[in-house]
Amino acid sequence: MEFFEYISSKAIQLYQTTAFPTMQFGNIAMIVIGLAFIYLAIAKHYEPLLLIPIGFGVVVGNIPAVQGMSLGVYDEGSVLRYLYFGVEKGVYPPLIFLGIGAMTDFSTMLSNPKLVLLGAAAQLGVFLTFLGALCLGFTPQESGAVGIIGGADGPTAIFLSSKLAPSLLGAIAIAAYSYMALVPVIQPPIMYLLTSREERLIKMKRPRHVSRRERIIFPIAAFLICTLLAPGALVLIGMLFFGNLLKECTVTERLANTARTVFIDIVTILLGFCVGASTSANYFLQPTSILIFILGALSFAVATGGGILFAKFMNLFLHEPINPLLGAAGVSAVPDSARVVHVVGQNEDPQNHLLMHAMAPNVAGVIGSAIAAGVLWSQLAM
Amino acid sequence: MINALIHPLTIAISLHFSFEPLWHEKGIPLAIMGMVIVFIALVLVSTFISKLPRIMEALDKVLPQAEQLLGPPKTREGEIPDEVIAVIAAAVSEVVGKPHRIIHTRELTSREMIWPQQGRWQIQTSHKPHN
Repeated sequence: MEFFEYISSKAIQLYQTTAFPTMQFGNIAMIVIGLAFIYLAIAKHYEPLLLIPIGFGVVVGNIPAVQGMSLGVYDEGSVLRYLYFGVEKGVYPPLIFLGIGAMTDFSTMLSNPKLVLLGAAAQLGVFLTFLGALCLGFTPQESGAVGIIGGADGPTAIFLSSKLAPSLLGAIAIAAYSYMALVPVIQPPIMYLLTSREERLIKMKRPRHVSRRERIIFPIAAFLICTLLAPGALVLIGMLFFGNLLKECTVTERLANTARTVFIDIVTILLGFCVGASTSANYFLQPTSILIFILGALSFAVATGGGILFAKFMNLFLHEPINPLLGAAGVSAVPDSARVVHVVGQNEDPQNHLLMHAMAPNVAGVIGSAIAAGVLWSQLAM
Repeated sequence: MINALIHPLTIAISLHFSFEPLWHEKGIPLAIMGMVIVFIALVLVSTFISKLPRIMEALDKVLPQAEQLLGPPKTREGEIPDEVIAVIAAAVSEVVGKPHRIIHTRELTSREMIWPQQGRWQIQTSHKPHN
């Protein structure tokens, strides 16, 4: 009899040390969401480089911790906590911007400067969502962090929310990356709604040749212009243009190559995994997360609409009209939104190749959203 | 246990919608200011870009040989230049048609070149009038 009591007490003791007693329905729901991300990435090819690390991170972050052990990203002294430091303190996003800069070719933008303005117009989504979030009871800091989802730039959204609203970081990051993956679903209906067939058929003039010297001077001059106006954007814009200078100056090819390949891959893995692991059900399954997802979708839609309508507005004054579809690429989901513009344009006319032209507002959108983040940070952190 | 399972999903959304925060300093005025700064920055960038060709002309007078010194980035030994990769990608896309992924490219060895040479020979001789 004593033997059976001993065995059952040991069995209970063993059960207590597993994750099952503290497993909650929310954890199971989040694990299912994480697995859905992994499925979408592998089966549907939705942003696999982001959704695989995030999805697996979500699964890892929702295994309940055993009492007395430091395991999760919120447990002091745990390994995940140290990795999460880069997210919490906004270290990873500027490093990703360095890699993006080393990948980005600004020559299409340099050959057609008026398309830069579309990248500014699309930031309307950021500021209108900021106002919407204020109306819904978010604090100004939280509203700024939620609004930046409309910038369609994951690293920028993470950077700003780590500075202004760390408690919402998980939800904002997941919303930003989810909507970036859903660009091909969200944008086309808005594009068709706001443009006529004649407008979608507009062909763009062939871009001019941009010399190497122009491409070297641009990142330096643009950095000075942007950061003197919005010093808050110093870190993101600085790393973006620094990476671009490494690429264009031709004498640091090794550094540029590292920044745009191995370096950005390492930081993406860490960022995606840590963001996923921060979505523990206790922190993530909150009413505010649902509101953030709704506001994020609206933000994306408004940003897309803002870019398209501004392109139509510009056409009122231009001798050579621009295809208003290009305005949708002003949201900085590089290069997905440019690709969507190209596909929608080709649906009307298979001979109309808009991809190269759409990259101009697309990269301008990266600059615009970084400036918007800088403005919000500098004004709301005080 | 059941309570523990259900608790996190018992979310009650209570919306407190109010236009009142919009009129504060960190409301509409901040949104307008933010939008204006973004526009000013990108208008200045756009203006600078449109003036770049003239700046280059002026620079050519001061540093006429600078462009020649800045050659295209050198390709390391065994590495295929970006332009060639772009051409390969376009050719594969044209032939395959459906979604695909190019995993690896490499230069052919002299022995492997026999097949392309054979292909070229066939193409170039295909229009010869037969005797």
